Amino acid sequence: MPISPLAPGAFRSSNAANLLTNTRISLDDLQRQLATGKKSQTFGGLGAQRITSLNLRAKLSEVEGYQSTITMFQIRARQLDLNLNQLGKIGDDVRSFTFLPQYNPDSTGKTSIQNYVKDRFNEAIDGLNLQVNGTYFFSGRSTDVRPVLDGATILNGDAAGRAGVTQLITERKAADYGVLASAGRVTRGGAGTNATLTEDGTHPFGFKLTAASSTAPGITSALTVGPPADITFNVAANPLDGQQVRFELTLPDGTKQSVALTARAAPLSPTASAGEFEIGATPAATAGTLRTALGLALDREATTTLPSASAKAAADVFFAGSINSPPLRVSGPPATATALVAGSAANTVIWYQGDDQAPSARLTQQAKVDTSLTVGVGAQANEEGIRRLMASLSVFVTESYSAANPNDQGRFQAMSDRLRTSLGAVSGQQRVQDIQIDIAMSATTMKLAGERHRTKINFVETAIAEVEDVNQEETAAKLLSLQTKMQAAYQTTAIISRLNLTDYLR
Amino acid sequence: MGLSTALNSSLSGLRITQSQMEVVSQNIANVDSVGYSRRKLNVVQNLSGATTSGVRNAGIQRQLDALVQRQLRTETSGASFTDVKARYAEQLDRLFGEPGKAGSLDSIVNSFASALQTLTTNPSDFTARAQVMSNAQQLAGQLNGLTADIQTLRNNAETNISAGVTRVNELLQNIKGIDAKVFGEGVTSANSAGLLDERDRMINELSGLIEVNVATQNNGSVSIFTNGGLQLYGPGNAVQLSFDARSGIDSNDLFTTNPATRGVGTIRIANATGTGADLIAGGLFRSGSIGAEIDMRDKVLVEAQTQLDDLAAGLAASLGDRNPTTSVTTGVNAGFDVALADVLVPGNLAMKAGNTLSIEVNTPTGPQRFQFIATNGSAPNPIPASEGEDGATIIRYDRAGGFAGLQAAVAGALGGGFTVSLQPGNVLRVVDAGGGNTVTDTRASFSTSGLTGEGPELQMFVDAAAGNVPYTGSLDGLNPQKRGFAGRIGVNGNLIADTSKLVVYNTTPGSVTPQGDSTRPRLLLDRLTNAQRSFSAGSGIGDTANGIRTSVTQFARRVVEDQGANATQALNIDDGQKLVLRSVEARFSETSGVSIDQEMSDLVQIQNAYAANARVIGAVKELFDTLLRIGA
Repeated sequence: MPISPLAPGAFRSSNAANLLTNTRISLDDLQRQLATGKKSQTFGGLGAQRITSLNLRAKLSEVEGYQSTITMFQIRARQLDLNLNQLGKIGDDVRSFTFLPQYNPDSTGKTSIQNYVKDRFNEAIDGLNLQVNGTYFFSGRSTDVRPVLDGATILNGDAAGRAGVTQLITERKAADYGVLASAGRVTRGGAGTNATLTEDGTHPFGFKLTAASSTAPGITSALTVGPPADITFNVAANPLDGQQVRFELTLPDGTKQSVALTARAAPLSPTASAGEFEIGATPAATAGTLRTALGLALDREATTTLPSASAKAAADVFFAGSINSPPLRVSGPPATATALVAGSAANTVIWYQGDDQAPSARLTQQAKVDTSLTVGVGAQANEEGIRRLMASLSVFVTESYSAANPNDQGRFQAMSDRLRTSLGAVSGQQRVQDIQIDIAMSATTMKLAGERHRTKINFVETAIAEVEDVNQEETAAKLLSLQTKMQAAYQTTAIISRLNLTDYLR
Repeated sequence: MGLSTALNSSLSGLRITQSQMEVVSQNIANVDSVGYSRRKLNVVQNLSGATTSGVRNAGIQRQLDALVQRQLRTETSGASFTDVKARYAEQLDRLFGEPGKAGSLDSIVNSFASALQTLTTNPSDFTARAQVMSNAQQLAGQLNGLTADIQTLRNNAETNISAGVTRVNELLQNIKGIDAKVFGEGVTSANSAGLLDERDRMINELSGLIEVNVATQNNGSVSIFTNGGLQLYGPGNAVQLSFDARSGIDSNDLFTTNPATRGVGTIRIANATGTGADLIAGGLFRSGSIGAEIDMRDKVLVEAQTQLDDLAAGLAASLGDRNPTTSVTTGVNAGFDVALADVLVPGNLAMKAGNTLSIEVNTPTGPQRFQFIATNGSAPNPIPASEGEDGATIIRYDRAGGFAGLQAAVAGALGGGFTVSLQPGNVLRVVDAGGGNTVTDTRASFSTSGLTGEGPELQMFVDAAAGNVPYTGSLDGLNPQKRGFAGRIGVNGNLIADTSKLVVYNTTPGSVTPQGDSTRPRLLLDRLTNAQRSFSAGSGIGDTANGIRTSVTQFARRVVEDQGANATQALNIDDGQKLVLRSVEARFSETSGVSIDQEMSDLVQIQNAYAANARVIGAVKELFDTLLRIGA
């Protein structure tokens, strides 16, 4: 209230009026407090506790922020969990079919199981392209990018001439096979008492010779590690019937195949199995039969185990590809290729279009859910577990079989076996279920943090109320007592103002 | 002695009672008049020679306690001062909004932080981005609005000072006029009471505007001095004050003693030669409403503006400044590397005008702190300590010296206990040279200039009114960039045009930031709510000598808190001052106030006296009648 100039004679009455006005202001303020429930309309009016109010409000806002983060991320975690669960189930379902696979190739060269697996492959792709509110969940940080291309493009390439996984598999098979005379990129040789196998060059293709041994004391084996590696069997003395020479092949997908050739006394029976060789009259003659048997054994492996391993290797490489590291492809004419070269986005389908630069897929989507607690619920379609699943399924789907080819049922069986193995748990390799567990752990962490936050919000809200809110009962009581006081004051003022000597002088 | 004497005495009695009646009627009529003091007719016997012949009027006397009157003036000055301050403080407090309501500064800051937090959970979401932008614009708008409000208050103060000065001049002229009349012709001390009351009323009003000392001369004339001893009025001579009011005052218009740079008006004595000394600079207005208006205009509101400017600067710099320092160990010596090269233009110094480099060291003689502040050459030399942080030694560095110049400057400041070298790629290396010396901390605050390519920091807030210019805290030019920045701050126009830059901080092919990358939002949130930075001492928050080191959001809360505390304090002081004033007024009124009861009882007395005098005349008449009958 501004300072008014003093009228000394009117001081008493103006002072009384002033006091009444001030009381009236208090009364109005109490009335406002009762109506709004708030102590003050300005921070100044909160008194010394205003900093408490400010800090608590900031804390409340912070905790509520965490809470909404948790809500958002829990939705994400639940969605991811559902989809990962589905991916895992696809793997399990397909795997259960591989125990008793039905071999019934149709006119297009596909068996009914392959068609079923293809459907599940496409289903997995739909699952990986999960999108909520315009955000893709399996793209890492590139949440605006659809992570995975459609199934047909991935398998068969596109009209622009980009190669799909099928073509990469074909190329790789050809590169691994080489030419007929040295199928599996291993040349056979030797003269006199020697039988030799030699890798045809230093390159990643074909069989790799990794071990050789013999149970016959007269036959020695020697392995040159290389590369290129070679194996020499030297027949110094004839073996006894039943004694074996053995060697080990490492296949393109890293699996090992052991081959054993058993010595049999002459003459070799017509029903003798492929893995036998005849003991000749002289060690040199035996070496001759061994050379033939080695060649046959390699030819057989090159048409059964090698193609499936090649397909697996090609698919693994294909599915490891991403925008910034396109898949490796066979360089040059496959049969004589000696190197892999990185493909490009122009010539190779890149199945995964999402983020491939993050150090950890989980941390591509991370949020602070408490002062010093960060959880990650990011996922990428090119994580090892998912990649393995997709590669395994695609390999199985791309193969074609012909009822006319007697070897094809065996190849189909080999494919099924390989699929079963690759869909199972492999020590040291991530599975879809492992991703699911990661996400579940994050979800649990968030749930616990959320519970803490709820408690804290309650506490902070109560504390804010204590600082900012009035006690309704107390205010009402104050209001009543002030009202009584004012009534008395008004009455007294009225009486006193009438108390004037003028009235009594007649 | 005879009947005629008695008759004369009674007649004088009748006359005097009529005069008394006149005084009583005046008293009653003026019971509510401002500045009217109760008057009393002094009645004395009328002596003729040694004999009393009736009664006479010895003059009308004002009922006045000079000591209380002096106190009243002092307290009126004080109360006017506190009253004006309290009203301003209350308005300021109101500006910051209602606790917990959406419009209050703290909740706007909190909402901005929340929006950033939401963005971290879903960086590619357009709604989340739009939310951050809208909150950022709201925050900038709030700071602009508060600045406008504060500057409006300062303009009001300027207008009020102007009006106050005009009134002071009027009052002084009036006092001069009355003083002249009091001693003029036809006025006697017996009838001067009214004029004196009027003069006192003027002086009282004057004391509400300026604190004054009044010296009363023996002849009743007065001399009026300000508290600082400047004579405003001496008999016949009233000083004329002038005020060169400015209009459209903004944050850059401050009071200085230098007329060339002064942005607001000042009060001078207008004299024949033009204008006299600057009275505001002389500190002559310490009380009264003019003093309060000056205090608000030049101190309190400027400080509030500084707080907002600090907040705005903190906001822009904390989100947009890089700190390219890494700790380094060379053998047994440890220290820090600072990448000095501009990321976008490697040949340039990344330290832009106003950017700082702080180095804290520990030497055998104790800890030391150096802050290098860059300039393009026109910053004040030396840079005032108030622009620096935490009582550090402030070193002005002219960017023209380049990389090597900075190395030399740092080496020179740190002395022999440290090795300062320039590594390849223009990396400044500061390591100890043993002997009990250690480099405890190195902090750089280098402004980014664009939206991308310089790391996850973001020039989200810029000097929008200056044309979307990055905020570097430059001290160059007429006004430091920080001054009034709260009024100019805005969201970077380039960011408004492309909100994806809230997330994307790298557009180099091959390492383009994915749309869902939360690195930048998380950094912004952390810089806003967590990272500590120094705020200047000029804001009056924290340690007044050293400023305060805290987070931006915490500083925003401290600003609101400080204004609230100021308002409460001002109101409390005002309440106390009003109470003092009231008690002095009460004491003054006891003596000088008209009491109707008193006047009524006086009236009864006067009536009785009149009746008695009339009765005496009646008796004299009867006696004369008796005498005349004897003769008949």
